[in-house]
Amino acid sequence: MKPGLIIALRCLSGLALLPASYLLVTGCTGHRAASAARSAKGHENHPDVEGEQDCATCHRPDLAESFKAWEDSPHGIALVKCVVCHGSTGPDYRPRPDSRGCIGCHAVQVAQLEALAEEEDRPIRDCFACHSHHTLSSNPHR
Amino acid sequence: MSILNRREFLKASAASSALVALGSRGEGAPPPLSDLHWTKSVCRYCGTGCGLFIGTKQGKVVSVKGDSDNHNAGFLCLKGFLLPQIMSAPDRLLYPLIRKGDALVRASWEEAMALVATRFRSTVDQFGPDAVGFYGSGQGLTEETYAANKLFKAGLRTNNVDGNPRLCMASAVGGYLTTFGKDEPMGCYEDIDSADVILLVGTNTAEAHPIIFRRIIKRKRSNKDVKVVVLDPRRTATSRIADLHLSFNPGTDLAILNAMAHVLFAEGLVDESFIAKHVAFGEGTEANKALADYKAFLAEYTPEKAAAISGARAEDIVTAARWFGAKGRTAMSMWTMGLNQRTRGVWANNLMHNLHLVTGKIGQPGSTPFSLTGQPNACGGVRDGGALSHTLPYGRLVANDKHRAQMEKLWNVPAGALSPKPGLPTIDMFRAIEDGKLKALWVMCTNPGQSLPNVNRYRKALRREGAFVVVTEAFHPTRTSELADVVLPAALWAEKEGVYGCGERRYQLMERAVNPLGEARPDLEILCDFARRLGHGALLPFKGPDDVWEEIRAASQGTAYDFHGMTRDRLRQSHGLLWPLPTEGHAGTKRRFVRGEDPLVPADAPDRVSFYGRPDMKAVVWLRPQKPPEEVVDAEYPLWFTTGRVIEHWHTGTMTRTCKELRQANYEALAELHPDDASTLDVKSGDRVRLTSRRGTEVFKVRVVDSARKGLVFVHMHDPDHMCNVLTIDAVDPISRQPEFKICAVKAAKA
Repeated sequence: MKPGLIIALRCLSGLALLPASYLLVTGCTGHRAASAARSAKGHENHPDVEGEQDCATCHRPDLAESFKAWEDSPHGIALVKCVVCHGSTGPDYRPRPDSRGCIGCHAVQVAQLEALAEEEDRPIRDCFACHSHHTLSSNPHR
Repeated sequence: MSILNRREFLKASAASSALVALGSRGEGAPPPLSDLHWTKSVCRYCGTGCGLFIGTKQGKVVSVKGDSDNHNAGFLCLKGFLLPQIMSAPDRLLYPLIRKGDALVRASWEEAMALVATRFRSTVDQFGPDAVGFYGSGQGLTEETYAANKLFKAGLRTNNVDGNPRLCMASAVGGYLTTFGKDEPMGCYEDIDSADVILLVGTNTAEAHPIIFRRIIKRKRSNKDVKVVVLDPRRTATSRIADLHLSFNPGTDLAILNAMAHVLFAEGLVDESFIAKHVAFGEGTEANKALADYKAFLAEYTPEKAAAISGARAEDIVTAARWFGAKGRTAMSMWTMGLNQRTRGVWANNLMHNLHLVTGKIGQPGSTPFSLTGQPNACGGVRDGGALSHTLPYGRLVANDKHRAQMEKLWNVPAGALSPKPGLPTIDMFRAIEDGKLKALWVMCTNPGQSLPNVNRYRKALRREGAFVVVTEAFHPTRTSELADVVLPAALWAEKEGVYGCGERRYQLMERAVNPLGEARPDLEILCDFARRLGHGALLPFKGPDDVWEEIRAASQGTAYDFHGMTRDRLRQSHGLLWPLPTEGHAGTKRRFVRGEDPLVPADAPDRVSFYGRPDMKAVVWLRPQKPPEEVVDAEYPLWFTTGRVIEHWHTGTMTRTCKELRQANYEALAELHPDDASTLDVKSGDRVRLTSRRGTEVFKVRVVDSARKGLVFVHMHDPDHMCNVLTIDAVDPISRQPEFKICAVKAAKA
């Protein structure tokens, strides 16, 4: 069996566990629902916030749970901060991140996803299909 | 003088740097990784030296990915990952500038270089060679630094060659040299993987060396018995994984480290046999003491006394010592500027080594004293390459007749060409400009107009009537380039080829991935042009960095650094190589001084380690008493002030602050205050506070954090518009000449 297919199966088996937690997280605030809507209809810019200290300045009150989930996760301890996945303000802002932020450290796994996209009828959309939001805890690559 | 405000400049720029760099990635899906051309390189930022690949498309850098075959196992921190954004930043300098009156105006390379050469030549003719100087950088490529060092020392005949590593690791050099007789850490990053105890002193590893911190986290997760001890006045992000965090009053850690040694002896946690075979004892500058003297010296450093001096808890000092000394377990220590940037920096380094020497926890996997370095090529370029005012390449000294003769032969200059008089170390160099003695200065790849302590004093000196300052930089304006008489556009990172040497003696080749932007040129090319114009073309006859490397390898041969086997081809094929590596067949050396690993230790050496840097093969345990910092708090200046790094930015922010993501992740330098101090000052987060030291005053926005130590204010060093160094003190360590950036006294008032 090709390594890519093994990963695909593992990803898919991981995916089966995801919807509940995904809904739980995405459904927690109005902001997230708005983000999802924006994401679904395409691209909308984050307002320019040059001069604000950091993402937490505006978003922490609404997203306390997400911040906490991230802070306690391996990515939080390693200080892989919001901008890595969500980009900056402007057209590259990604309310729902894609895999481009993962390439820096996980290029091998991102390349596997890209290979799968060519092989499979129903490719895994991106890393976040399996790695649940902000904790990013599941690891289907093991 | 017309000075562009860097922040306004970036803000006003129509193009988002992220978008310019990302091109088609700005919207929609990024291009598939397989569509990009990948070039092997190294991260531009800290001294960890993470391997990476640069992804290019249509001649532009659009992506980076970690090198999974390098020590960083494919991981990068957020700064490294966002490197593409710096390449086409709106403040990249694209053509030479020369000063006309108060303004810096565009000039041709010919006009700019002719002016620079004329001014340097006339200065030497009129005032002698020591009226000129070179101020380099731990960010320059090894080949560039070597060329500059050779041109100034052997061509212009002055030893006024120094660099910003004087500000960050000179005390670590002093520590290794005085204790072991040879500079540079003896261990390697891999030691983290088998360390049972990890002692982190004066280092916010999580933010300053994130990928080393990742490796520490991995080790800690792999084994529940691994202990992490952090000594730092602040409870930083590093302390999140600590089993024990000792907070203490700034400048009292010498007492704590001596008290740890006291406990090691008191509780029988020392290795008497190792001490007898491998350790000498000394005080001052001579190894003239005995074990009994050391024990007598330690007697007064009881944990209780150290606790009283430091404000740490005595039981924590005992616990730290017990964990460190536990028999049958390995121990690794790491430290950074908290120890080095001190008027007793060398002494503090000696005390770290002492802990390893008395326990014999050294030269084994997982046991090593490891000074982490802040810049990507401070070790490889300036430190090893001997580009400081008292050094010559690869362990040689200006003041040593034999060493000068060796270099005169290698450089093919007449006997006696090299001056035996050490030149001016950094702070003395900038004071010489202030005094009018140093009249022409070449600054390469660094930003002293922001990074020097007591910076306003030296900013004034750089604009002194009669001083001529040349700056080669990839960006403009910086807080230094705005003061220059000539600014030359330098190629940046992926636009040139050369070697970087990181904190673990690992040398790595960065290959060129794209062409320089605008009219920018690699610094090596600029220096060779300068040499020709001065009539010293024969000294720098290089067609490219490969030629320089051949000469550099030869200069290392037969020294303790010997990397003669590190050919360009091997560097090209490898993912970094650790010296010593004397022959082409040699694999490199993970652990120095160790029989069976270090080629400089005879295979039939009687013991597992041999400290061959010392005449008697014994490393020195130094008796170093507690001494307070140069400036202490008092009624007038009641708060301690300390400076450091954050993960989002690097050095003076010239690169990271061009990256929109990083600006938005951490916008400006804040004054971090303990809640009690904030309450006394009647300020809350978001308010502004005016901090004033005996040297200057600056207003910062406040962040109140319970991780701060009461009575201590922290401000990071990366913000050109809110410079912590307006306040810091320019007192230096008498041995290393490194300034005490980490400690001074300030007063605060709501602004």
